[in-house]
Amino acid sequence: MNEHYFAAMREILVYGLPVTLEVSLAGMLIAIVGGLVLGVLRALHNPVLDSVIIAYVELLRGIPLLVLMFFVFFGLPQLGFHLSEVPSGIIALGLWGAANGTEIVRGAILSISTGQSEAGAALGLNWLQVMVSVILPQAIRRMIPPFMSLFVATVESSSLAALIGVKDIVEIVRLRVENDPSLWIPLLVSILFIYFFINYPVSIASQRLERRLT
Amino acid sequence: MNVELLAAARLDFSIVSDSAADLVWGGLWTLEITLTGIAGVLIVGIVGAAMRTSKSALARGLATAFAEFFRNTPPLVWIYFFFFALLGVGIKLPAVVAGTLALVFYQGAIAIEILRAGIEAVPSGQFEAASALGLPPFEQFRSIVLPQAFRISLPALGNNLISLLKNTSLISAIGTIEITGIAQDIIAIKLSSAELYLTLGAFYLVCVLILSTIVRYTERRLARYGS
Repeated sequence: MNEHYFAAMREILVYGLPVTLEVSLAGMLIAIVGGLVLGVLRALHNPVLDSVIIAYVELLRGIPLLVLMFFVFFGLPQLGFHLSEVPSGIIALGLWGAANGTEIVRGAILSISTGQSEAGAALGLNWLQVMVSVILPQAIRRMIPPFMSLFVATVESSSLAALIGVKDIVEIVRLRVENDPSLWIPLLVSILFIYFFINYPVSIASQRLERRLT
Repeated sequence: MNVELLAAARLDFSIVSDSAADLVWGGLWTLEITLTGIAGVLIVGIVGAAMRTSKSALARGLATAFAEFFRNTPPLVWIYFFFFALLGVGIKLPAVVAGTLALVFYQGAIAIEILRAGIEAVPSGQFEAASALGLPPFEQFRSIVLPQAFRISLPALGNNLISLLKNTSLISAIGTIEITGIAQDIIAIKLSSAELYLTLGAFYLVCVLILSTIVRYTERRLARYGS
């Protein structure tokens, strides 16, 4: 069992961990960029844009990420869109994260007092200038703790990509135990600790920052 | 060429109506697992939060370790753990039980943190008044602190329960019981999937909508008692 365990752990750390990190970080990047764009667009208070964005956010937050991932990977080819495993996982994770990111950005922008944008307008700045140089610099500080929580959720959710065949740390465990079921406990406990060591510092930092802001 | 028309032409929802009975059965299991899970999450959350805010360092340490470990690790891995890993040491849990337990621990860990924050937000005068009344510690917690903490925590707690509902889909990784697993099974036989995933999405969307309406209604009801 020992040499099998170490061989599996080597594969997990050398091949699986980079995949887990790649899917998580790429998904998180889409979440941040998408969240910023959609969240700022929400601040325009355009009725058409608002209803489109609200529909997107509610839809993506109302269905399980796993169903979205299955749809992107197994369902879209039927409609003529073929994506391989890793891009499917990243896109599903990113779309889901962007919906959550939109709410984070919108909440942070709303939390900045209207006096700030009025003062900006009084200085002769246009909407975009007020947003970029007055509102966002203040709002970004309030976005950081919830985006850190979203990062933790994204790293956890990247494990779902294993179910569409992405060879992340979970999938490698599943493939390795097929030959040797006695590896289930040691390998699962090991990857639980890998996730924990990635997420715990981020979630502690998020709580500390949150407390300092209030 | 019109992409939408092209897409519509390739969808055939008769695959959904053909397996309607199985899907309804799976949907009922999803609701059943969610309801059991909600009860479990509330129990874990309340007991954990009571320990997390208690005077005993041991209770605090245990509850903190439990909450921090579970909420920073993926529920899917816990589902595998309760199903396959326990099987390896001779404990055979049915997939529903293993899945529900894993989700209760994961969402319960999050509930502990939510309720702890709620308890800390209860004004200290309430604790002092409760002990001035001469109530035993358990009664102080049960009838003075918890109801107020619950009311403060309800919006976040509601989101956590909605997340539980969506996460029941992860149980499809270990068995064919709830609706996602049933759908996966049908897809494996019929080799056509987009229609089923769209139906699945609609099912969860409606359930999430109902659950969030119940949470908001409860919030309004409880708001009467608070300032």
